[in-house]
Amino acid sequence: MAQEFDTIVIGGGATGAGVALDLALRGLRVALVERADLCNGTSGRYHGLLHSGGRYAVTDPESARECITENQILRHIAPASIEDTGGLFLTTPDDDPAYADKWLSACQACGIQAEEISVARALQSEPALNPRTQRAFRVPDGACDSFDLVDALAVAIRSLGGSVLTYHEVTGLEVAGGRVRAATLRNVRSGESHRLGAATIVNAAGAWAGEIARMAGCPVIVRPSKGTLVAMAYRFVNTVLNRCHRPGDGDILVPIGTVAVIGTTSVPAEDPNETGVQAWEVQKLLEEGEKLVPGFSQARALRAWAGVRPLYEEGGAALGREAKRTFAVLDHASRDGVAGLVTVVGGKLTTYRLMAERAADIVCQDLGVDKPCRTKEFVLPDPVPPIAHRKTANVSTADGGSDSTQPTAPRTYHVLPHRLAAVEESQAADSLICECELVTRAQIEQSARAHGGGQAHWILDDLRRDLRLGMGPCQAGFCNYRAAGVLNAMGAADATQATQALADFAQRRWKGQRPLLWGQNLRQALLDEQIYRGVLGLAELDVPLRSTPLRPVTNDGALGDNPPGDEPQTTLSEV
Amino acid sequence: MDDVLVIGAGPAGLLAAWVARRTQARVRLLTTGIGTTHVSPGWLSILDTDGDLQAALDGWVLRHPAHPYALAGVEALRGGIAALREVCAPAGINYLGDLQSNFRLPTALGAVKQAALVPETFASGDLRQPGEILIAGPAGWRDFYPALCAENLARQGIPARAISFDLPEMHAGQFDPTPAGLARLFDQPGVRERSAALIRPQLAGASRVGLPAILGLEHSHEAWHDLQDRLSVPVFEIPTLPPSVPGMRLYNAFKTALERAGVQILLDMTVTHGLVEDHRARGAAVPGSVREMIFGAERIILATGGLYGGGIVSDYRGCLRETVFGLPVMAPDNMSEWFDDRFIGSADHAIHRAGLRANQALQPVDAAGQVLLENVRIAGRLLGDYSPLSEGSTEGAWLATAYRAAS
Repeated sequence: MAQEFDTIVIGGGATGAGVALDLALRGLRVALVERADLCNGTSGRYHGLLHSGGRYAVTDPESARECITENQILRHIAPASIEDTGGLFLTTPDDDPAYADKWLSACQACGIQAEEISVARALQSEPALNPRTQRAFRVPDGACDSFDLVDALAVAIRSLGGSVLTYHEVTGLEVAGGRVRAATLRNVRSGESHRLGAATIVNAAGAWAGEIARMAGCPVIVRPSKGTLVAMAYRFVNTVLNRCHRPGDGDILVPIGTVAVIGTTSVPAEDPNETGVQAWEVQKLLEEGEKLVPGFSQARALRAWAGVRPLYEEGGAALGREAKRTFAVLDHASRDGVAGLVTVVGGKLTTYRLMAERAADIVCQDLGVDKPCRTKEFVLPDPVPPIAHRKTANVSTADGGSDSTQPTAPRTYHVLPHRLAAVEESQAADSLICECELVTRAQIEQSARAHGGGQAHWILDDLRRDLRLGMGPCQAGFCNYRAAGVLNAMGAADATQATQALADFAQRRWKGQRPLLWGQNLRQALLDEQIYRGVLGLAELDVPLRSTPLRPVTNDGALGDNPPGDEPQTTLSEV
Repeated sequence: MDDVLVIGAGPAGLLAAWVARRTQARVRLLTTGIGTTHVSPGWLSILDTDGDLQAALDGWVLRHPAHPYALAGVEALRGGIAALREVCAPAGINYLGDLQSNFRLPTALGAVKQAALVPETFASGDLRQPGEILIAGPAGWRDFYPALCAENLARQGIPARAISFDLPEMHAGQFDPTPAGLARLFDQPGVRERSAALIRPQLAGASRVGLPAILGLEHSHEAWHDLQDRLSVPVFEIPTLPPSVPGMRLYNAFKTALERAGVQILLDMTVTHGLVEDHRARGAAVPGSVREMIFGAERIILATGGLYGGGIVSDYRGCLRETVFGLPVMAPDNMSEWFDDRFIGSADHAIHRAGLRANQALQPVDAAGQVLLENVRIAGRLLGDYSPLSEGSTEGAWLATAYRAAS
């Protein structure tokens, strides 16, 4: 029987998207399946660090070698997602002075270009550094925007004819005659299930890989390790900072975009869905940050979040920092007697391409495809073309209507200077709904239409991922009511749904603020509460807890014919 | 040397300065900036209750002996209301209502809030009155959505429908889209005339018309009367997102009244510390270009606000500090208990109860009740042991404590 796809790849993070692209480049028909939005798991909750490998040179040289090799490849193939900040390893007064020499020779052994510079020179290039630093070494670290990277991978997969199915959860794997045959997918938005046939399946579900493998009767024990990160409101430095010591908590600071991210902690997690942030973790990170950059802990912390590392060692039992950061590719044909199923787990975002290559090699071997891997040379498309989106930001200018039809990918429109230019050009400040991130009414309407088949309790968070709505300092205090009002005014949500969307979004933004409520953030939270509770009376409204489907909206914004609850049959197509 | 130095220009500081000036010769007000007037809805909430407000207040004071109402006394609340009316009447802001029962007022989201006293421009929004309400707003304005408001009211059984009307000024290049910008437009008779002409044909038997609270800033009394005359039905205002136009009107009324009474208001004057001698405050220090400026006073009224206003600051270790005198701050021991996991839910956030401890004279005291600074009085949100949003006591607390602190 002919299969619809040569390969289904499960997991919309960097690894899964990397595998799907690798296979698509070798001519295979691929479907990338993700239970939520792209980058919803660990890839979207990571540090933003393109590793030089220096961190692992002493304790895990195999990972270190993989990192430096892939670091150089990614600079070539994903230039739009990477900022070449360079990195520094610093011996602060809190670090063992004997470690640096050991580290330096380990770097040399791994092929990492580490060069000692004088502390004076380090301070000259980065004046915010701890002036009591004793030694400083330059390494080729960088900053990497994982949202842009995975977006670029998805754009490339689609351009090669592959499918990317977001909000499709795998609920079962079909195995017959010792071979995997299909996956059962549930469209999370419509609630409907489908069988999707494929000759092979790659399990790239990260911390959730054990659950997927179990569906085919294969035991895979991932040891999830939660790491907490805090984004500060300023960059502080323009170079990645690492403490030159044995890897520990809060010893890396990555400047990325307009913020700096300090991390991480390492806490064994029972459940990979548990990404709560504890108060001690935040305090620990700020105190460690203070050792790198004096005054760090007094600055405004914007958001805290946690990601779950999918640590895995075949036959190993080490946890947390002791566990290796290398990856494993499991061929379940030889390992468990289930042909056509491959699990790729462990590793780091920096090594996603190598992991993808190894997994794709096994798939190709299984399918008898004799095509070499091309991902080392294939340069990814730039997800943010400099001018293409300018007109879509503004429909209210006289000539704007005809230009606002189809954004290629609204969520890639992340760069504030582009938005500012569009807003300045239009002179229509009244259309700004989110003033922190410069999101216009037209963008909200456009994005809401694209999500028309969704459910009310997701809609504003989906708009956030598309447009960065509500991600600035006020954390949606002002734009939440406005966006809910726009949804209601355009007919996308009745008052109940719009109010529910508002309440839901307020609570989702709260989750990221909750661990950081002191100083200015606390004042902001009190102002937001005054708006929601004191001015709008949100607590007085009986907001239903269960969400209801959004009304279908046609492209011109009018209500569709389908009454709520009578959704059109959903077919498998790109979302 | 002043007789009274008031620190803070939120509503508590402004009212305290006015009350103090009635008996004292020299009153001065120092402030970092403008206070919570600009984020307030505009009405005066005293205590949420469905029944008799006076009885509810008496019971509340008995059950909560450390509450600002119990410390200041309900008489001080009455005094504060009377003093506020003195300040506001010349500016054309007339408060309706009393301590008998609460108004029920619609919000921009179509929820229903309670308030004991309201500016007359709000009063006909009282939802205890029958009749269909027409909610109207400028089409496409980002800060008010008439349909969302009316639809939410209607699903609670309150007859309401919505219209929007075009305001051509919004499409002009120099348009200020904040509520204050809209309010300045409604100061213009021509804008009111055109808007009324668009609303009038859509009345269709509506008993009254609700508009966002943007009906004039400098000439709000005239603007409201004029619109009402043109529409021939009562017109009322509904609070918008900040900045609050009713709050700005209130601030302006205070500023005019205080300046006329000879009270100097010094903005951008952040008091960095107080001077203390022998359990008495001697004055307050403000950084200056040459050297620190010292403002000496016989008596100091501390109305610097709470954690939002800036009278109390917090750090990542969970330390709370009162910014002028370093007075002890009551708060939950553990920072992780400050906030509930649910942002806007039925549970209150424990941090709201953080603040200073005071005696019935509103002097700051320690845990044993010992007076810490004899000639200092605490007014407004800086006080602890109450939770304004969940109690519905936001304005009542500053009315009562400012009056008491300054008397």
